[in-house]
Amino acid sequence: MEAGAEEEDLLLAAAGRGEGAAFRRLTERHGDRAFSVALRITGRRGDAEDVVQEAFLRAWQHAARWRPGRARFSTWLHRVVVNLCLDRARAAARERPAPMEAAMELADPAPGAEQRLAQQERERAVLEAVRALPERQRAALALVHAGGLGQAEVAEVLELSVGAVESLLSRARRSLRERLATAEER
Amino acid sequence: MDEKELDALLDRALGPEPAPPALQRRLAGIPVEHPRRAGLLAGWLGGRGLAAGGLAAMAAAALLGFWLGSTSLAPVMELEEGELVTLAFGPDLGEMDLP
Repeated sequence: MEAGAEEEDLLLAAAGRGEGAAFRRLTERHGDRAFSVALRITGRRGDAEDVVQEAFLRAWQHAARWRPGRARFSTWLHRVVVNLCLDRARAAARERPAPMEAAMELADPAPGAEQRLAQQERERAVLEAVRALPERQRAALALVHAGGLGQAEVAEVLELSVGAVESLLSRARRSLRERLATAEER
Repeated sequence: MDEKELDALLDRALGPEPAPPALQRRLAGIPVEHPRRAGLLAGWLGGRGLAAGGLAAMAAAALLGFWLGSTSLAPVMELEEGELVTLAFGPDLGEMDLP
């Protein structure tokens, strides 16, 4: 097991003993990526914040039962984040079907940068296309690009084979290319 | 759009960004708002001391029972023949003052 994973096992053991400082180290280390993954799946900052808080709360409550050396904490955390996001997306879809053209929220633009605005337009088109993808494809893309996970770890998070993840990502990219080409033709 | 171009675009559009300060505060507050029991009790709650806890509880119950008996705080009723039936089924309704 990698040195980073061993260190995380130690942090989790300390968190399991009730050491808040160790737990905060874990939130500092994984909070940004967990938030980014949740944001790219849900498309809403408020939902993403709630999901990440819930995931870390579960980590805190179950830290004493963590078994070192069996899995990476980031894998566990991302799995919880993805599942919570998908649960929310399904619940929201039951209440009010999300319009396909709904835009995901972007970070605030840098003030006065025209180039940045043009780039943001393109990124917005990408986000809209991602938003329209099936949720598993969206989750796989979010884990790779927002979470920085490799395909093997994405497979662990989504509980799929590596081949199935490759196929999921391939279909997602093909679909995105088609949607973006259609959007540019308009 | 080729694969590399799409990947670069996805990296920019979906790439990681810092968690908002409000979320960072919420995460930092979790140990304070949901304190865990530390030390021996935490070990017990984690399941490691359940057997020891059970044995200790049994010993405590036995000691309490012995003490109650020896100090007559829990009196033993001495029943005469026939009383057991009455205790089990309640007094004869015919003897009760019915409205």
